[in-house]
Amino acid sequence: MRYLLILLLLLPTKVFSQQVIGSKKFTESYVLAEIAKRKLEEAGIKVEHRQGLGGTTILWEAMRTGAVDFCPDYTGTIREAILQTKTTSLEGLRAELAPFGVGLTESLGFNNTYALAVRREMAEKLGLKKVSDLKVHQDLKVGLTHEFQQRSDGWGPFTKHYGLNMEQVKALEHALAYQAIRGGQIDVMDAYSTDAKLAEYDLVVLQDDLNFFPRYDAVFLYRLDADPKAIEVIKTLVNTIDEEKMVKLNLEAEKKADYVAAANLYFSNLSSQKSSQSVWQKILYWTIEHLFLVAASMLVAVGIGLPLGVAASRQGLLSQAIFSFSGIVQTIPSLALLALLVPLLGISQKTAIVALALYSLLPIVRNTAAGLQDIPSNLRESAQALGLEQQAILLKVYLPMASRTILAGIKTSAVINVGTATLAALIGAGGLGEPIVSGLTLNNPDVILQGAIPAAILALLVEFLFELLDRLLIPKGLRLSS
Amino acid sequence: MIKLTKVSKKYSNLVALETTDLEISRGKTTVLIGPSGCGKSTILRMIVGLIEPTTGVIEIDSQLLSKENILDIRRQLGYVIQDGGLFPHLTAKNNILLMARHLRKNISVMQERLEELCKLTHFSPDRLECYPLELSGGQRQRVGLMRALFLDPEILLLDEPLGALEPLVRSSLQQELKQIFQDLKKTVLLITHDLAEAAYLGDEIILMNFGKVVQRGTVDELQKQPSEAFVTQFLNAQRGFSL
Repeated sequence: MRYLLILLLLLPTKVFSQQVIGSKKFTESYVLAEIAKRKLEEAGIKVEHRQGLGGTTILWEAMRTGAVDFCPDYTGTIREAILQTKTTSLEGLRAELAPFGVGLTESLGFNNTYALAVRREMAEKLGLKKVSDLKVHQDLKVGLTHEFQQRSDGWGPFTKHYGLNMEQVKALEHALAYQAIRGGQIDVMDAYSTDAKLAEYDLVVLQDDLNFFPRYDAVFLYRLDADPKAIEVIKTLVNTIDEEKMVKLNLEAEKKADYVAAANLYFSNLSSQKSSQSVWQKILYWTIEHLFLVAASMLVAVGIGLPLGVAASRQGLLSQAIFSFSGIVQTIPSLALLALLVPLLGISQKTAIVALALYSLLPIVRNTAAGLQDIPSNLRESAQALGLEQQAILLKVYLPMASRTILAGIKTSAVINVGTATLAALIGAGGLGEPIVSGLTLNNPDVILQGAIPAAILALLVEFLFELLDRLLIPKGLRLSS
Repeated sequence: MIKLTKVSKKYSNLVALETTDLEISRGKTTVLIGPSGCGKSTILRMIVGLIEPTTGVIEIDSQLLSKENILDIRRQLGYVIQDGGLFPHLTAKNNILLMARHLRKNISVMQERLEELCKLTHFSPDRLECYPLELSGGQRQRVGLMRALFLDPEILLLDEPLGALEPLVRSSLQQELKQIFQDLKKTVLLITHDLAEAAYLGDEIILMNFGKVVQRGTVDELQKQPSEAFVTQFLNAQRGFSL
């Protein structure tokens, strides 16, 4: 029975296929990865989508180490964040990526960069198509994000490049700018060229006709050693999505809170593929993954924490060192700890389990040590005087006597662990963090709740389970005293 | 039997026991008595190996006490402390059997021995499944005694065994202990601060003060030929209702 349970818990880890697509935690990345996934599936290739990885560094690390085979990215990001190079041509980037075993497709057909947006009806009335057209309408009211207004490659150089001298420019919060432009308080704003809100607020992007903004062409990165057939399939995506289409896909994803649906829109000439799994199936799957993460990391934490606690219960330098270590681990922000571990262990459940185990250590170590130190000295002497070996004293007398305190520490760890484990989604380790992360990205509370509610219930269940364990593991003679 | 040769115990700036030579005779009950901090507990705890002497050696049945043989020696000793020193997570029975089980003794032999000891200590066998917290002080002390006697040690060491008991229970347990000591003919070393108890239980009394043995003998000898003023002082101080 126990083995069956372990097998069941291990099940979601590696049943899936050879090809892995990764995506970062923002809508467009999810949607592009979903499109690629469906393309590959239609070609009969098994795919797994590791979604919402916690940023460029983590995803790049995964590509480099081969944990992920494909991921959507942008030439600008590859240039600035990954390679830190001056090269701008696709050929040049491709040559610099090759030593890492990573290849690069041609552009998917759109450029996701800074852009100026205006209301569609106004653009049509005034005949605005490109940035240069603004020269004859310098009276238009411009609203800019603080960042764009202040950046050294922002508004200042931009107006110089185009020879613009707009009369009214003010800075305002990006989220408010959409309201402002619809209400007519401003006429021109800065935006990302594929932002879903462009479609939602019926705005059009002015063409960067003098090429001021750096290119952020959407591309796919792929492992050079990935399935060649799969690489061919991914290459068929080249030049199939323009800015307008991407904006619509992003809007669909945000409106329906479902990027599978958005990906389906890409295949709109085909019959819409229904979401592969029902919400309940997905929640069940995430929950099992989550439980596995919690169970595995708690096993590791108890396995390490108990002996450390025993060692720390004896006064001395070692005890100080152990408390300092487990205390310091606790102060590292969880995202930072994950980021530290990724270069060492890659992006996998293994990494998440190590991080979670480290976080669970302190309460276990502290309570084990405290429980042992609380044993009265006359009972210690009684145990020794019997003639038991040290190990037997520990196992038969000390640990059972400290069991209540030790178990309380493990319980604290486990409940916290259920919450912390949601962060595992950021390194593609799955679990209930997945809907939370994607819900945050889609700005959709329903999706967040699909992860948050089961996680909360799980925490309660863990609490309950430990109440039972208390009865099972804490000797009756100790429970009498309370 | 038990022999201390030039044994002393010093903590950084405190002398717990001055250099002492002491022999405890076989088959007799010897009582260590004296005011708190006089070194009587130090002697007992050194014999059990709970603390190490600063100087000198301890022999038990001609075996020199050392780190190597301490476990063996402890198994030949029965050690009883105030309130029994029972482990709260084990039932009375499991407290008594802890060591025997650890040594994998025969179950039916253990059962027989348990019944025998219940009779000896007047402990009702149906209380054996109780946890220490469910027992009275006197019952806990009886269980502690059974645990110490279980492996039939030659030597019994008792550190204020009746210290935590109310007077009536204490007095009846004193009678029982006396009977048990007489029946079993063990070498008994007992600590008390109560002179009446010492006089009642002990064949011989060792009076200690400030880490030194002041006088050794029967109560009678102590009364009639005090070696120094402190002896009379101590006896007089305790000459309450019980003497």
